[in-house]
Amino acid sequence: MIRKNKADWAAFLALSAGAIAMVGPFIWLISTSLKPMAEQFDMTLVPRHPTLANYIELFHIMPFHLLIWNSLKISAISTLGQLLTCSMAAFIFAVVRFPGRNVLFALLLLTLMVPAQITAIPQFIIFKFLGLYGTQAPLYVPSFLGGAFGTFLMRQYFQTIPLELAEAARMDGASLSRIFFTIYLPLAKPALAAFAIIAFMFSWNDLFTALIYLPSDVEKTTLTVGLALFQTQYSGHWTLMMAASVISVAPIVIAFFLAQKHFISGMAMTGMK
Amino acid sequence: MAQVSLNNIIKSYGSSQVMHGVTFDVADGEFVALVGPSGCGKSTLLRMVAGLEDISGGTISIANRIVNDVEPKERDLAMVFQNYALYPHMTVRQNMGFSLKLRNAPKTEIETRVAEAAGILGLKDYLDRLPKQLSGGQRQRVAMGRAIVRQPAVFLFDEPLSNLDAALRVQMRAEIRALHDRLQSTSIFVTHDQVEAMTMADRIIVLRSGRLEQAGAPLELYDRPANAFVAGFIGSPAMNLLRGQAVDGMIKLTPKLSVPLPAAADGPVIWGIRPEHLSLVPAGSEGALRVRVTAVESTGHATFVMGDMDGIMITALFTDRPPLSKGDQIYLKASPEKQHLFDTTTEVRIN
Repeated sequence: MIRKNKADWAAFLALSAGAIAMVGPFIWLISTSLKPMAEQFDMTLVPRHPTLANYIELFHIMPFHLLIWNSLKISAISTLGQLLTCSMAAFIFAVVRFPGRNVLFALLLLTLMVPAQITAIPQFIIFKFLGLYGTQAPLYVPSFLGGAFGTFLMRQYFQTIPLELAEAARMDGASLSRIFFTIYLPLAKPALAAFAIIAFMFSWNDLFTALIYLPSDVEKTTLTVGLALFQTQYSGHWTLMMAASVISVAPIVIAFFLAQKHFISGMAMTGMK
Repeated sequence: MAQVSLNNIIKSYGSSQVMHGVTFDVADGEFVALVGPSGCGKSTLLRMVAGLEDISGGTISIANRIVNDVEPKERDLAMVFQNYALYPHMTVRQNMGFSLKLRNAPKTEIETRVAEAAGILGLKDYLDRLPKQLSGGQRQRVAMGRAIVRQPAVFLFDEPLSNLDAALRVQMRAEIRALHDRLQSTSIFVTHDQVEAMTMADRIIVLRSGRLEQAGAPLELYDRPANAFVAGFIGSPAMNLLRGQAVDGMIKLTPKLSVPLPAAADGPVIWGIRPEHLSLVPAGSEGALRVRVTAVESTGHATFVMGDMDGIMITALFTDRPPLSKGDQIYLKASPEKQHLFDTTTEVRIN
């Protein structure tokens, strides 16, 4: 590689510093998770006696495989629900002209300003009334009722698709749902991929809702709750903590790498208009 | 095949009315061009025929059936969009067969009809390509192919050639017309380019600000424009339209400059003469206008001469190549039988 001038060098250094700051803790995390207890405060990046013992012990302490499965299941269902309902709402907002469309959309965006903590209590009462307290349903059912962020994101993307495509399809004899499923959805793959990651990450990292609805039942709860419980019980056991953390971030990292191409182009494109 | 009738069509957006009672018929098998400057409502009118735009007043009938409240797909028409509106993720074959697929047509029928259309349009080798792998002209053909596989009663074209380069536009112009003659279908073609309208259409409908200005055969509009707007809009370079006062059989254009009045009139008038109906005459000829040349442009087959006559700009067109240059003094004479006279206030033709 040929470096052309000082500006390139400066950029290289700045980016390297950024990369180290970002990736450094992550590498440390992995490294610590592979160290035996005795080495946990050693300032070495490469463990002297690398071991998988922490990971094995983890599964003895808590049914982590169940927690992972629960988290995966809930996040996957939530993501699916969000993708489907948000893009449907977004499609209507982007393509169909109806009276009050802008007011309705503004109202929807306003809900972004309302913190989840405020709606938590009414939501709790509703789910309690429905007899769903203590089940996993409250963690994914709301995802099937759309969402302001996803609807906004998808609408912005749909608006970049020329309206003539919908009109041409209408002339060709396609119904609205047909236009949505055969024209708009396939064309929105980059945005869908980006949104899928965001939705998955949001659901995967969600501790608050899981704590409310699945308080004590370790078999049913999610990884984040498990991790929180673990933290209080095993504080000081950093090697174990780090191993648990690695397990909790791994799926996100894998998902990101799988969708990386779409994710970046999706973000770039959603940012344009 | 079908006749299309528009009867007193009105369109308003909220309180602002943009279409003020447009009425015309398109006969079965006729090729009609809707022309007018941008904002005249020609595309809106076409979209109302298509069913993509609500009709605020009046009726549209296709094949003697009022279609005001009929869904686009039930109107038996196909539309070619300005930006083609090809489905980017579908191959040419899928694009063309989409409407038939939606109608649950049998696979073999879709295949034959798509193949037939592809044959007509020279797209046989491109059926498995995506739109982005095609050139502009090919995309244009696919858009037409998508329309013709449906075998609709009426074709609608919304400025389909405006995204093509000049050479291709001329070629596609001929192709669309040939296709029309072959299919014998009713066609409505929207364009802002009056040359397209002149060369392609059986009949031209000129619109301005949501009103019909004139409807007629291309040469009829050219030779006898009904008003000053049509006179100025049809023809390139545009007709010279000069304001003056009709007094004693003469039109006083300026205090020093007069031309003979071609028809009986009195008071303020607009005198029109096309650039090609002005000829060079020797100094002192009867009725000659003295003009100082301000610019000469030659396209090879024609020479445009822009001149100033006592403060009024005038354009003349010659197909021979008069040896003129800027600053020359020339004398122009208008052919007596080719002059147009319009009322100043109503702009309506007088002669």
